[in-house]
Amino acid sequence: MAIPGGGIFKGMATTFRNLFAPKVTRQYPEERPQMSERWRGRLDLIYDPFGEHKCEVCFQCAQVCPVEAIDMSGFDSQGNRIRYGMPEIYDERTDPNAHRRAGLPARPMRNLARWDEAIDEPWVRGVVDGYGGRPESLVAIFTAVQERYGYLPERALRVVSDRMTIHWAQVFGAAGLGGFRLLPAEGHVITVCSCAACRFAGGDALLKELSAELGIGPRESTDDGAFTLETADDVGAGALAPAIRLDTLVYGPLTGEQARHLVHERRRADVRATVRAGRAS
Amino acid sequence: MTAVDPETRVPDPIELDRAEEARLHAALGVDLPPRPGDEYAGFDTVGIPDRPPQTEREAEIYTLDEGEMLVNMGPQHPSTHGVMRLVVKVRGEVVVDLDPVLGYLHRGIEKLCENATYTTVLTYVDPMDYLSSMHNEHAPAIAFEKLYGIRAPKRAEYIRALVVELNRVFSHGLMMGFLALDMGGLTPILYGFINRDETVELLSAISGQRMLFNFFRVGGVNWDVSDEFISRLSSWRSNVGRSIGDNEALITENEIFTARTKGMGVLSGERAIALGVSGPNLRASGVPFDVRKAHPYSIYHELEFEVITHSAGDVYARYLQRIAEIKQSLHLIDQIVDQMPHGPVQAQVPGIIRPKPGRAFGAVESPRGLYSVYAISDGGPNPYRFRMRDPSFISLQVMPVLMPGHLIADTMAIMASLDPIMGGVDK
Amino acid sequence: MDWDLVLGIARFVVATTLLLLLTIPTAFIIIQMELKVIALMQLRYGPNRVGPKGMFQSTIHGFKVLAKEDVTPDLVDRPTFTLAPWMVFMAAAMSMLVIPFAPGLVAFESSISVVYFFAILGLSVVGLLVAGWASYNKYSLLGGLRSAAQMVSYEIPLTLSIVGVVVLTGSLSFTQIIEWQLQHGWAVIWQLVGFPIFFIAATAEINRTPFDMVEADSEIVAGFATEYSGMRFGFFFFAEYVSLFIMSAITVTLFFGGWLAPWPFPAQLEGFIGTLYGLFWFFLKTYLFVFVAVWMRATLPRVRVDQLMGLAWKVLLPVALLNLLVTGVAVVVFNLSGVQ
Repeated sequence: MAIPGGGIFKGMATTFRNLFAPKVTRQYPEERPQMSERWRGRLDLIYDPFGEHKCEVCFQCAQVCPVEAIDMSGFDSQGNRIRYGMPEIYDERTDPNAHRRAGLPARPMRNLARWDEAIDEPWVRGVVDGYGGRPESLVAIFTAVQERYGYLPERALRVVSDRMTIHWAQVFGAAGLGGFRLLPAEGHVITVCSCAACRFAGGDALLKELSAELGIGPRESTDDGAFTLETADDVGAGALAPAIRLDTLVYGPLTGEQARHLVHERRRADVRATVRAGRAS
Repeated sequence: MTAVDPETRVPDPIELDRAEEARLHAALGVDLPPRPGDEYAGFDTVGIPDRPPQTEREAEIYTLDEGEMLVNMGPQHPSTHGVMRLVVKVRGEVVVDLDPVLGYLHRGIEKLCENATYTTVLTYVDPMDYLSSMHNEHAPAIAFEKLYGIRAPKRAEYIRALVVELNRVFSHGLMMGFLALDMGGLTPILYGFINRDETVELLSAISGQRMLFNFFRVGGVNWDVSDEFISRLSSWRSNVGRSIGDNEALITENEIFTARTKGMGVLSGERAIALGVSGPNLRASGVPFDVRKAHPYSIYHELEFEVITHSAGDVYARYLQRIAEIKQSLHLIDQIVDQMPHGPVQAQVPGIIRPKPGRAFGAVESPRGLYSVYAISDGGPNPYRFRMRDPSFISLQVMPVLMPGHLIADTMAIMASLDPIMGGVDK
Repeated sequence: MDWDLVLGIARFVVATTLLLLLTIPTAFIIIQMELKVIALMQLRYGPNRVGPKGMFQSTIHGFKVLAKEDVTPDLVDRPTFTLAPWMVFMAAAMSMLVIPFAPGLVAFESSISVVYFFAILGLSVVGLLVAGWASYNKYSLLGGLRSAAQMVSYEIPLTLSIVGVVVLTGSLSFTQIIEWQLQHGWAVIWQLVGFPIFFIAATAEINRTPFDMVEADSEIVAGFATEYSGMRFGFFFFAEYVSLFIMSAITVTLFFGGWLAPWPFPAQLEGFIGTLYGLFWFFLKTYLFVFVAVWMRATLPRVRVDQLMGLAWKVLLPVALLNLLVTGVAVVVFNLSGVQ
């Protein structure tokens, strides 16, 4: 039974004393905590004493991450822009939900890659086996897959990774290299290279010409779905600046005039193909 | 957009669960699975399944005699120990039987460790018993060093002992807060957290993290003590008595508290040994077993301390035991700081160690008891088997032994005095 | 027309309305005190963003509770479910009618205000029982029964300790008790044993820590108020804080001189200034006791249910009876009160 006595009064004296003691709360955000020098919680890239990022963009961290949580892009030693990760990450500025959250008008998402879409797995395996499953032939395999589907479906990449027993992250990382789409496209995809060299050589003007010609901006498709205009940091053009890629073929160096001619030719080829198909059926 | 092909579609996990559940229902001979929207059709509100009991223990706890009732203290507890479900069989107000249901926090750490290198294992074990992360890392470090056949340098061992004792100080300080909170006292837990905050700031100066420290390596520790750590240590040492002393003044002599804890949940020494209890719970029942003295590891044979025991074995004795251990840890910290030698803090080990095939056992005294690790290596970079024995898990099986005869209100008091941390229980 | 009667009724209506309106800021102030004082005792600041120094936090809490969704389970007994919070609150509000705030400032002047007060306060037990029963929930029922048992068993030492004061002062009227204290000094000096008993019993009566097993029950969900949500739930706890104020006010009235000022100051003044003066001292002393109650909440753990009942019946009751015996004997022997 509890009969109030000394112990209770001692406790109450303690709390009463603490009523007037200085409080320990730190008033964040006015007072920031003083983290120790070794604190590892910062998500920063560190600079070396020369002012450069210490990160080498070697992708080792992204490849080894057990939950594939790291996406990154950077410049390699040749100055090429390389990236690693799902395209949506880099397109997140066009993410419609982000627009909605910001109160801006949102465009509907198009051309989402589906993780569970159906692909012809035996065919993909056949392609891989055709190259003998050699890692050097990864790019050739990608080209074949992209020719068939218009882009590299994630399921196909997983099959490739499985079949070749290459780590998924490595396959994905290679797919981010020059020239492969990871999202499905509408119609013919015109990719204008926006790497430093091509921009220097007049790639911006080329983009403007093509925009005017097709009547759409970058990342948009024409109303009839025939063409999609895009920019990419690398179209695998080598030294042909400024370059564009039409589906899988790379053209360069181009002037605006030549680019427009290219588009016309493509259209006429399409019409001819449609007519021929109509006559055949 | 490409259509989804039903043939190659990867099924959603919840469909697999439902298929499995339907199969189980059919196998056990239960008529119908519940209709959608009626998921509780076959269950009591307490959660007694409507299938026949599958173990003896289930039969024992789910069969109700005249006047008995099952009360479910469900996974979402107002208490602080984590997610755990207690099925309590009461007759009126008196507890007749109690069954803890565990596994809500299971993360498959032992299995994860089989696919991780030895260094990565040391990061996986941190969040097990998250209030004593350093102890969680210490035991595997000992086991792996035995497997690999190296010893950590002396200075590393001293640093290890230092951080481990710091960890013990704040873990025990928090237990005082939990015990008071489960009884309705709102203040001691906040004082306990003030103590923890100060200690954890100190530990962040040495290990870079405030909670899941990732400080131990096979062969030593990650970093040496920094100057910042030394300066923070001396100011910490002068402040640490304040919040512990406040807590003591609030709790120890409080008549309401003593009336609720004295004579409650008495665990005799023999019973405790038979059940495998260790640590402060065992020492509060009168058995002078401390891993640091019985099987000395690290540098504890060079330090001077004694094994404190209390003979009562009730909740109050377990509480007093932990206060005494805090004071003893402070004494140990003083000795370590005095005696620390110079030298390297990590032995030369390669990035991925591949010990020879073999088995090793490492045990430490964690704030909850004997925490041990049994590792089997097959020569590769990953351990073949990594088994952890967590003391909270063993302490929880004491609950059905202690509870019958007490009131429901004492459940929380007794459980808080055993100081289980569900992260360690469920791994 | 009997203008006296009309005036009397008008005065009563105004007084009652003012009292009911008074309960709202009282509850807000007490909640704010709880938040801030407990926080400061726990070495933290408590709410300090809403309003200067966080003063408006409890007001905003009040509005928030009004805006919450009121979930009523299907199978409850609707009329009683709705009535229960009202019953508890009404018991508290009606008992406020007899509290003397200042000389001449009593809503309902009566010669038996002590009896009236404790009788009406006991009606809150009915409200709790009804709340526990009307929620279609065995745990609420258990909680309600348990809290009713607690309140009923603590009423006896409560009233017995009052009887000591009544015997001492020879009157059942609050105002006359204060008059007696004006002449003879505060009753706490005369009733050194009676006051602690009263204080403990009062704390148990209003379900405050350390006797708040009822509302802070961590095993049987939330006691009688489990099925209540939104403003109905708010009503229960509103009623609790108003009862805290009322109990503190009665403690002050019966034992600490009501509106009288302590020794160095003149005990009471005349006229309008006297009313304000009395009001000031009354509220100061009352809120001092509210502070003590909040202080106890910050410090003390809860008493277990069986220990609580044991305390009431095995400790407080015999001591209260003893106190009454000694007081009665002393009054007769020393002829302290003016009444034979």
